[in-house]
Amino acid sequence: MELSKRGIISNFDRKRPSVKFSYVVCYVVAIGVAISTLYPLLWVFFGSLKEAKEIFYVPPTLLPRTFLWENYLRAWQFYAIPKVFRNTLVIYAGFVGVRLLSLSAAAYALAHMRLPCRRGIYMLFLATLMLPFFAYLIPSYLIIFRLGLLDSFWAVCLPAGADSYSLLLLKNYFDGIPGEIFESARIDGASELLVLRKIVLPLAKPIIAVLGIFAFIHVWRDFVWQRIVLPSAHKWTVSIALWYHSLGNQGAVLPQNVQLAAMLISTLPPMIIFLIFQRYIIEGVSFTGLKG
Amino acid sequence: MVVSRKTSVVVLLVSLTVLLLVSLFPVKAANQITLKVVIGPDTEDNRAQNLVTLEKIKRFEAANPGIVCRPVPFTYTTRQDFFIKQASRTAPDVLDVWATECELLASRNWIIPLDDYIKTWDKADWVIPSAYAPFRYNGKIYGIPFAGYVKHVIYNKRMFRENGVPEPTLDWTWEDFLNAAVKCTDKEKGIAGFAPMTKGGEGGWALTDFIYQAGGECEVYENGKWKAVFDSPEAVTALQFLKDLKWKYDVLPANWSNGWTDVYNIFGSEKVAMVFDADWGRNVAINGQGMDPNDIGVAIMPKGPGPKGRHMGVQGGNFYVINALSTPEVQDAAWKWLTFELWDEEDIKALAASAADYRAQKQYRAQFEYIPLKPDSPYIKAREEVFAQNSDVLLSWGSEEFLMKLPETAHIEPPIEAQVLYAQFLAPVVQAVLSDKNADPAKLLKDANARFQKEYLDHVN
Amino acid sequence: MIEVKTRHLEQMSIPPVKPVGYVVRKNFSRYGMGLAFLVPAFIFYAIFQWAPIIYNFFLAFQNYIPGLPAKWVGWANFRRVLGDSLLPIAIKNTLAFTGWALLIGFVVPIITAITITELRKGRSFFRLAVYMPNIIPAIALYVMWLYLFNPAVGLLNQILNFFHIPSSEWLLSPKTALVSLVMMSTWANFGSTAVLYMASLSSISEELYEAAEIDGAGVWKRIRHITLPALKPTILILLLMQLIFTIQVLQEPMVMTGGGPNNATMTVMYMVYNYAFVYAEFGKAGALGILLFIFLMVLSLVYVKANKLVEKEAR
Repeated sequence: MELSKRGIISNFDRKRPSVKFSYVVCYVVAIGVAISTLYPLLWVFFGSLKEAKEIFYVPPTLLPRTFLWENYLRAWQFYAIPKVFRNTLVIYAGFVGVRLLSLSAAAYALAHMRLPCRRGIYMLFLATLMLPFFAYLIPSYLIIFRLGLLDSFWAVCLPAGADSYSLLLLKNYFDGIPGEIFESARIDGASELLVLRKIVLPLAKPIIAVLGIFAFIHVWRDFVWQRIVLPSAHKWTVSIALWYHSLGNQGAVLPQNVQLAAMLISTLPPMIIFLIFQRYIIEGVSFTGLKG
Repeated sequence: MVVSRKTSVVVLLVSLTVLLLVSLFPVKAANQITLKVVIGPDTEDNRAQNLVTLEKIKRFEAANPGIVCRPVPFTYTTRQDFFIKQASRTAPDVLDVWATECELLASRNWIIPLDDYIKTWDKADWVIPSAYAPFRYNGKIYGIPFAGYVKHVIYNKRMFRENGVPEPTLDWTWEDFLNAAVKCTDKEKGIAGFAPMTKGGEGGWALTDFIYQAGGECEVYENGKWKAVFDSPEAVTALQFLKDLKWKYDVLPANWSNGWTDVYNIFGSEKVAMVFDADWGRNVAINGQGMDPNDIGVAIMPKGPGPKGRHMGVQGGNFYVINALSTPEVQDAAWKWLTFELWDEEDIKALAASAADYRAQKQYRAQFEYIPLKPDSPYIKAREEVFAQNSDVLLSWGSEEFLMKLPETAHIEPPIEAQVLYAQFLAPVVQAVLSDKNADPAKLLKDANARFQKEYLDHVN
Repeated sequence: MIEVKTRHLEQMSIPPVKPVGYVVRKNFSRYGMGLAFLVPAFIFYAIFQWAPIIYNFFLAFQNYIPGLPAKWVGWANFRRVLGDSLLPIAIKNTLAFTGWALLIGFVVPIITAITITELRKGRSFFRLAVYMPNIIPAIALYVMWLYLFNPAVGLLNQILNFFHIPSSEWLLSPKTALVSLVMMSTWANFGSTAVLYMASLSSISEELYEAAEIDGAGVWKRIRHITLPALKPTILILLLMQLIFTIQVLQEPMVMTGGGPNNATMTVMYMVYNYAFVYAEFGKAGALGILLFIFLMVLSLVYVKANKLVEKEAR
């Protein structure tokens, strides 16, 4: 779906030679950017198909001498890909559920309900936006431990309920919806829950899609927190498995070609998600208030 | 209606706060002897080892009624995991750690002295007394050595042969070492003569080998005070040597920034002729990169120049320690676990069984290990037999002379803040001379020495 | 959906409706429902955000050894942290990293977004290409880039050699290590920023461009007077978010360089990490963490202020 019929340059402009030239420049830039992001991945892809020793050839080769597809099979087994994919997806479901329940209610209240010192409360929430996460690792861990959540998926899901960046996006979004809609519904005698269900949620679909995708990418990328709260290997996520077998386990005997294969396998699910939902990302983001 | 809603919200908020506060208080320990023991993370590659551990637990529980073992997935590869587990008191009651960790763990009262246990131990006089050295702290012994090493050189025999380099002898020097490195280097093919560790704490660790070889020290205890002395002329010689390897002789890999694993990956892919190894490095080369074990030779460290020069490498290994946070009863149980089947027949059986596993998986038991026992102890003899019977997969390293000579080249690690010294003071110095042609080794060491003295040792004194 | 969007656009000029005089009225029942909606978030924030902050505040004044009772030591931790000879280096590196990251990571997404939005064909392909690095798990990113940076067998020097430029040492030289990390981090993150800009761009109304064109404004003039001003609120918010994000840089140097060579990539956050998780000096980590938190709080106030300014301007 194209979002606008025209941009800065109009059809008329395009007929002018100087503009024609800059239009070509646009394509060159775009192709350049695309090459700079995709070519390294292609290089890594070829590396993942090489023999272990060929990776260290000087001068390096682009194409592998023989295409060793079994590297992918080894990576698939060694990193226990099906298991870690499943774990990560289960965590994601909980993660996004907790986050949306907690924060959309709060953001809606902050935007459209009667509250004492609304600004103060909002600031109290937002103050943690700048929290240097690593400085708080030990206290956070101790709390998880005291709650008895260690080695449970909840240890990753529950902290998702407090995220200032998502709250900020949600509140900005709700601020953008005219308050009259809710007011008139309330006057008609609808309860807050009914307003929430019948009016707010349908309107909030785009922002929910955006937060859902952001959350997916977060769960897929994060490793520091997951690693300390999920010590048992049968609970491991994608990131923990990648970390453990490639960086964490000193004396790992896994050759680099297999490691690279695993890295590429791990990027597939988020890529598929992006391909399916990219429309929502672009559209949804334009609803978040970060707009002109 | 109005009141109840208001009240309910207030009550809810208050009760949540109270709940939060209550949840922060410590959980009371159960009143039974549960012993937390180490097990590897349950990954595919650990499966065989973990099954062995679980079997051992069964036997231990049968032999010691009243003690229940709880396996805790744990490895001491990053300290972070241990700190976090200590904080929540979920760390194992008995665990194995590296030789460097004594001061960190003992000075923080995280582990207990074992002297009283050792007195009652039937195998106490099997152990070579000097093997305790890295875990002596304030006159007490805090750890039981079970596998030791002294760092030495491993080299690619094939490359030596092809380049006409003589095999290292027991009295080889830096000159011979350099000569070998120069001859094996072939920059066109991306082959280097020698690859030191330079990244992170390993970089500092690797420099100390050269410092000791040149006759220098890192820390000395004088008049009741600790003094940093790695600005000595000997230490400068050592750093200058490392610098020359890069800039004067150009025998290091183009990508000289390597950590522990990297170095052995390069060695295994036959892109470097010599590396220093302690124990497990060659395992990466052999089982990871598929290097032929017959191509790997071992030699003691080369001797530094001048009258103070000596053959010397860092001594280290693994030690069993007992967690000080455990209750005395649990500590007693931990000692029982620690000594259970240690250097016993079961150990020998397990070793023989492992040989079959290695054979089935087409792998080798590649690591170099010093069993810190006197040569005439029964275990050593039985072990040698198993190794001889399974020499196709259980690799043993070096000649008789090499093994006799190696202990003489042992040097313990700096007793105070070794990891800080390595990572924060020595590694940057190493990286400075390797990345900057004009770096001044004497000045760099002098500066680092003064800062380490002021910021760390002075706080200990 | 389109209907909602236009409504939303109209709303930009009208301040959100606020109930008036609620503070004076003592009738709490008015707030009951609103507060109830806040309860879940309150719980999560209390447990996972506020409690750790408070806990960390105490930590900074204690000598804390995990598992053992903590001892109060007053300001000693702060004194030792401020006396650490590494701190000035780390601050310098952190600021340099932030500066470079903003310089590169701020301009590149805008240009990319404008360019790609202008394209008539293949827009979704380029969008994917740009966003691609952003979805790679952090660990995978580091492992891949260690391979790409390798001076002997890595891709980057191959490219330089192709153009007959002398090879670079990348992560190995103190001169280039930090910039190399910025490069990698920009590569990995610019996609998400660019996508946000693209979204902003697509919501600029076509009539504005039509009108400008009729008035005879050329392409550059349209960019200067319509596109960039329209992007301003996004730019301002993203600039500050990037600032705060990059100041906390830790994982990249930790995994890629270990802070080296010769401390060239040692950052403040990395020092915090080392204090706590390598040297078990949790008090010192707490102290430096608090200093960093205060610094970031000041930044966040600036952020909120700037946000308000933009809001006012937009009205």
